[in-house]
Amino acid sequence: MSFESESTRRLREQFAAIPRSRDPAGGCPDADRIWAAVTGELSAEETGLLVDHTLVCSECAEAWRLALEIARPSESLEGSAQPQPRHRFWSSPWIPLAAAAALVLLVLVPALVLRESAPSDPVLRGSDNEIESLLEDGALLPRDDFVLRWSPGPEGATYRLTVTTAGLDLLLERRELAEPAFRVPPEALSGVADGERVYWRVEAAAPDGSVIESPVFRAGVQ
Amino acid sequence: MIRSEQPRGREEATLLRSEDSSAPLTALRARLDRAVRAICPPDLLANRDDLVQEAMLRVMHGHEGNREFNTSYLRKAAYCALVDEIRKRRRWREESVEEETAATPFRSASPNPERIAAGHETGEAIRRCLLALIASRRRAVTLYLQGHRVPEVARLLDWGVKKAENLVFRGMADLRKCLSSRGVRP
Repeated sequence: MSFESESTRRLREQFAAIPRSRDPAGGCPDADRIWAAVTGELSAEETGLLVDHTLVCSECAEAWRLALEIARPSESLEGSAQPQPRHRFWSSPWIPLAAAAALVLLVLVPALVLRESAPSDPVLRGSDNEIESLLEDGALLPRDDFVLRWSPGPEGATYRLTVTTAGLDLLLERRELAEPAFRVPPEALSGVADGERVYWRVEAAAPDGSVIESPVFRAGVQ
Repeated sequence: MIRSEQPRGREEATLLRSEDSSAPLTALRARLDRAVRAICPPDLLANRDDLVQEAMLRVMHGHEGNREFNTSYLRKAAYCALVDEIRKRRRWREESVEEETAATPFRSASPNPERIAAGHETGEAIRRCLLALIASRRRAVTLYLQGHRVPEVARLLDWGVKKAENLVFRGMADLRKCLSSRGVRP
């Protein structure tokens, strides 16, 4: 998934232009340690601490970007050398199958729950702790009937829906929705080309004041 | 006084660049050159060739007699040499009074001081907003802004891709909201 957009690119450029600074506490990591973090040879905790350091030390942030630029595989220059990552899980050929299985579970299980509960309860009541999309992830929806649906939150919950472009530009926000579905007006999608994806998420506010945040979902516009 | 930044052994470096037939080294040099050009601010860009040559020389000196080049190892060695050299040159400049009084890292990139100042203000606002985020979102967004892709963020911080997606998404939203509250529109 990519959130890349013009706006994100500008943010990256501005982030890279943070004024020169060094960690006031000193103690910049050696170059080989930054390299190890960028190539996944450090633990997540160590990496996290180094990432935090780059926020207060722009010289190390620059060194981090250099490492990324040098370490990242590039077929145009060299085909053979790849940094050895700590985990190779994401490049496994089994991932598409696992993703498909997960998607089936995600989509079918709520549907089965709905079917089984129908005689006694016409409304699907999902887990009180989760809001899930009732659409297939990334499904293409017609722009003149762009209906987003999600599993209901607790009884009496109201929903806040946010829809953005892939670049996180806000397309639509609706609060106090009473129903776990919303038809996005075509004009809100006017800047989205056919085939492009938008991202959406929901917050359910329960009567007791608790808020349940959904994951981010994707939907295509056609 | 401005210190000399001539690399040692320039003739040797030129020889290395022009006559070495080792494909990994040629590729490595191209990679370093490209990285420096893409990442380094203009104060270092003026010395780009010297920086890259110096890093290449140090790699070569460290591998005398060894013609079995492991590309990953070479990249790491060259990177470390490059960063050490950059740090060293910056320390030199900071010790130089003349450089100190005139030092502005981006001055040669743009002749417009107002634009530079605005860029610095925005960068500083980004930093402050990031520091105010919760740790997981802060780290996810920082890596993302550094140029990592979401699966890389997931791998480096030992998260699932979905979790990383969510943290980047929410963190970016928080960041934009914070910047907006400060009157900064990226």
